[in-house]
Amino acid sequence: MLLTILVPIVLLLGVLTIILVTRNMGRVRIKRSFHWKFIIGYLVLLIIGLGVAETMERKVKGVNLPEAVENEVGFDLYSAIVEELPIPDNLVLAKRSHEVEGEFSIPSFSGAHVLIKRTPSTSRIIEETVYSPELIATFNDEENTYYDLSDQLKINLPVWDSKSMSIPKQPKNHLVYTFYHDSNLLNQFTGEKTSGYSSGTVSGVMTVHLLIPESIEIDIPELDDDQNYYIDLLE
Amino acid sequence: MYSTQWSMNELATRQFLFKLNANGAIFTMLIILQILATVFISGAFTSTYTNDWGEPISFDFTSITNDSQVGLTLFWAFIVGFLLTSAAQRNESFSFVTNRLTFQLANFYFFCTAALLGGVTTVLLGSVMKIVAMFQDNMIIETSGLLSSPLDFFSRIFAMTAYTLLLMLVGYTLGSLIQWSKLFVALFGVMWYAFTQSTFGIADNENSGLLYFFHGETSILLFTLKIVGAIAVLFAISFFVTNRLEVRNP
Amino acid sequence: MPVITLENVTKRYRSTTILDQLNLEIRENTITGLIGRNGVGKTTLMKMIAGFIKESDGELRVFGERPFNSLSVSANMIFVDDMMGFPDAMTLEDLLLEFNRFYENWDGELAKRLLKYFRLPLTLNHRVLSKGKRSTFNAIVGIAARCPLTMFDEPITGMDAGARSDFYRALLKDYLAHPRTILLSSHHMEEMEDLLEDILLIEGKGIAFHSSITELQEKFIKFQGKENVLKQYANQYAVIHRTSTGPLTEWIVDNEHTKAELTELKQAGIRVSAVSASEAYLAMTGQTRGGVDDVFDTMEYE
Repeated sequence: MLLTILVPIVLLLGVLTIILVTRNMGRVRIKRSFHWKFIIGYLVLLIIGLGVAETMERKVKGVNLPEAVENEVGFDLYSAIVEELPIPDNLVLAKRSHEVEGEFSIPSFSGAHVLIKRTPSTSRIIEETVYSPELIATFNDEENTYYDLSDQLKINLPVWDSKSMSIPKQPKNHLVYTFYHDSNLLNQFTGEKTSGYSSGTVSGVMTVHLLIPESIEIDIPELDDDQNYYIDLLE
Repeated sequence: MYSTQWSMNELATRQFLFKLNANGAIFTMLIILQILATVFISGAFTSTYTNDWGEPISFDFTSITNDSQVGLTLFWAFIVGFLLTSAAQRNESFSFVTNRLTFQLANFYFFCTAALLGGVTTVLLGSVMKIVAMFQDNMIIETSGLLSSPLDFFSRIFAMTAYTLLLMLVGYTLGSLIQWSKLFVALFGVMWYAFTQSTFGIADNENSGLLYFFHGETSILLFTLKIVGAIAVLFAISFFVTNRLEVRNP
Repeated sequence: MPVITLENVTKRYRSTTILDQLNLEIRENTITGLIGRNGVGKTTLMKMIAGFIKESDGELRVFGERPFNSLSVSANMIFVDDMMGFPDAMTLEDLLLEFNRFYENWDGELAKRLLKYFRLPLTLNHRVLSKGKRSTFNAIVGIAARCPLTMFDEPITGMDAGARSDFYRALLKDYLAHPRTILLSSHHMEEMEDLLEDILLIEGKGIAFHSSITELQEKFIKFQGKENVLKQYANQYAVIHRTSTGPLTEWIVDNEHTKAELTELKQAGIRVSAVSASEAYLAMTGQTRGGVDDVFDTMEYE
């Protein structure tokens, strides 16, 4: 409704302004040849602009991020871990082993997901695999073009000592991305048509997968507690 | 008894050249509008997302497009159509040799030229916006350039030119009808209301309305046919009015 | 063969009839003065001939064609009036180039020389010209286009006396060198008398007179003498116009008399002379009969 009323008013104002401006253009008596020089100059500038853009697109670093492989998008890390399926390498942030003494404890934390699996072994070694969260930017919902920005995330890895693993507060991540796309009107026949705007999703948080031998006693925060949401004991 | 015999086409061409000479300001106006759109309306649309879990991850996505240049060019097209129906324009043409058909044809040639210029400059301006965007970090260019997909590039120019020409003829037809009778102003108020209602009013069905008729078309051939058809209809309506105009009347 | 023919041509605007049932032929290569009082439809007639407006009824032919929307009429005709519009962005020089583009017989050299003579710089813009200068420019264009049919509607509006006579002279010279059909309308009959061959007088929605200028003059005769003498000797004539300047009174009467009568009048001391075309025109249009003087005279007698 607003549109129905506002647009004609804006249009009318615009029409008036432009008609007045054109009238006055005559009044200041711009030479006829000026217009043609102006147009030619403008076209030349635009063509130079096109050339520069074409070169920059190829030469400048940071232009065009890697595209995510489609079947890795929204990778279900949890089930992969549970079902011990292969996990893509690019998700692995760190793979470490730690020797612990006595009882192993994890203080309360936030900003990570810890999966614990007990192994029928008697060693004192805990194997730790840290998976990064996936940061995926999608540009085009219909065409499913995803950009993998995961490697741009700053992540503080868990800190270990001989008795415990603590997860530090995660650093602030503020990522800025810029998309350029031509107006939808122009892209009617290019297959680059977009219906919406770009958006980004972060799938989950950092996942820490621990393989802890059954011989090690563990002290983890109460499962009932709200905080424990982040810890899963896998069967 | 008389010596000079012009062919219709010859005169239309001469009138068209005259119009080009006389209306340089119209093109200058386009360029100024486009520069204004580029400088003052960056086309950047920034959205900030924060993780639902309150995690310290947030990100800004900035979309840069040449929407504003497209919009202003189409706006310009409409006004140009309107401007060419003014009494001053008519008197200028009829100060020289013409009849109403050559007058209308010359206007049409002028529109084609102006639309082509509008289409080419708007698409080329996209590259300028790209350059602006490339000074940002983490740049993603979603629109392929001329070298990577030349066909797409020219299809953009084609689409823009077609829309620009269409809007010029819409403006021209409205202008002619209003010149004919001021009563049409009221009629157009009603038509505008009907248009917006049919296009934007039915929110849950976006695949309808006049806008979708053109913009929803994915076949370039059918699109061309639709545009040509629409332009032919508008041309016929405006010529119906122009052909009975009495000119150089006070 | 006539250049312009009208058969029962009528022009109406809605319910108002401007011109009613006109029949007319204009011969090739003549200069015709189109005269008549304000608002009798001189401009309307010319615009119909130019094809700018459409006749409501009847058959109008210019070069054998209906002028409305005819390209050949437009190409061989130029209509000069003060409504001639030119783009703001163009200088006079640009405009001359455009005329050259459209008119085959265009004499650019003549136009430039005339502009120079009338002190119109080529770099000026048409719109910034004064009214008189604008009329001068339009008139020069009309001459230099050398169209087989050239029409001037009130071409001298705003021109000073010098420019007016220069214009008529220039027109006459160019006409003699390059004969064409010229239609000329003006209120200032006395200034263009010498130029005209034919007179077309429009009055009361129709044509009141169309013939050569001498024929118009021969319709009337002028008596000059003392008022009482005139009243005594010349009372049998239909007096069309009376003026008294100084001791002498002037009567314009219908030119119907015998030789004997003329001698008698002369003997009575009355000067008999021919009327000028403009006097004849004033007499014909009745601009004298119920003249503005009478308005005041009647008031005095009451």
